[in-house]
Amino acid sequence: MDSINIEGTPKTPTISFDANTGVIEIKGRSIPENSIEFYKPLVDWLDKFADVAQGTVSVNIQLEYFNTSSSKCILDVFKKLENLQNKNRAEVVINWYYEEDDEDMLEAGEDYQSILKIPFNMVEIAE
Amino acid sequence: MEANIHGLYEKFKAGKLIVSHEGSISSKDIDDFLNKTEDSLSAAGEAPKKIRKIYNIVVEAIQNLFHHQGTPPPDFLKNMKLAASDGYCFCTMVKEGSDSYKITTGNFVTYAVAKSLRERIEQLNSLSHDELKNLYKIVLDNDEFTEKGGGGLGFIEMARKSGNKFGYDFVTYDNKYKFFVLEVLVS
Repeated sequence: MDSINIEGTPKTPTISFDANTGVIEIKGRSIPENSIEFYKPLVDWLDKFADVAQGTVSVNIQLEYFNTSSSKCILDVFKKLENLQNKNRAEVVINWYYEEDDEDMLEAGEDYQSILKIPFNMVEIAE
Repeated sequence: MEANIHGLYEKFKAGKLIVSHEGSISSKDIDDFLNKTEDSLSAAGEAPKKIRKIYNIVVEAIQNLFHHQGTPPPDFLKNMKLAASDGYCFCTMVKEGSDSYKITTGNFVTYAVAKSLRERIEQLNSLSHDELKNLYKIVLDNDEFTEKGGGGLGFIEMARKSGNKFGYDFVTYDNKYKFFVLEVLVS
């Protein structure tokens, strides 16, 4: 299965979804006016990935900003990963990165953690 | 009436103006506004934490305008010498006092939308920090997108990030339109 690699822009994050290593990364800023358009191909990819995933799927989320439109789309991504885990296809873990004084980003990760049944690691990084 | 709307914009620009925009708003206008916001706050020596908070609010406020700049009243467009297909809105950010910033937006709405917005804002203004957090999670997880592709979360997020009650007004324009003004204070 092909991987997805999308270069980041000032408004959209860098995407690296690797079907071979099982490493899923979303990094940068996610503030497009139309988030559904950006995230749909990623959600569709995850649907297909659910049929082939094995071992561990490591999800690295390192966002500086994301708008509320993206927040719903990001939840959709997480829910696809939750389905994958529920099918016993693979073990999923989400690494949620936040800068050391960014309590809002930490809280955003905790909001997702409280909705989902996937293990979350909150990873503090130096600013 | 159009002079009053432009007059409102001038009023909200008064003081220590950081950034402003009036007229229709494009994706490029949003980029320019956000870049100016970030650059100005950095140059002013604001802490990264505060810049992030303000930036997040500005993103939501200005993208709301992008989606809801709508079709202003035809006579307003004509008198302002705007094209029939143009949208109209404004957004300003001023510094208040030594450490607060006020973001103000304005856009036309119908009477029905005004009623719904007023109820929503009054509800959000009545909620505590924890109640806003819980409401955010409920709306986040409700599998719904609004007709403009948003998630219905923008106002909740602005309320959470600002920590202050919204200021708002619905200025009567004519018997079909009101002009909705929203003020978000970050201190």
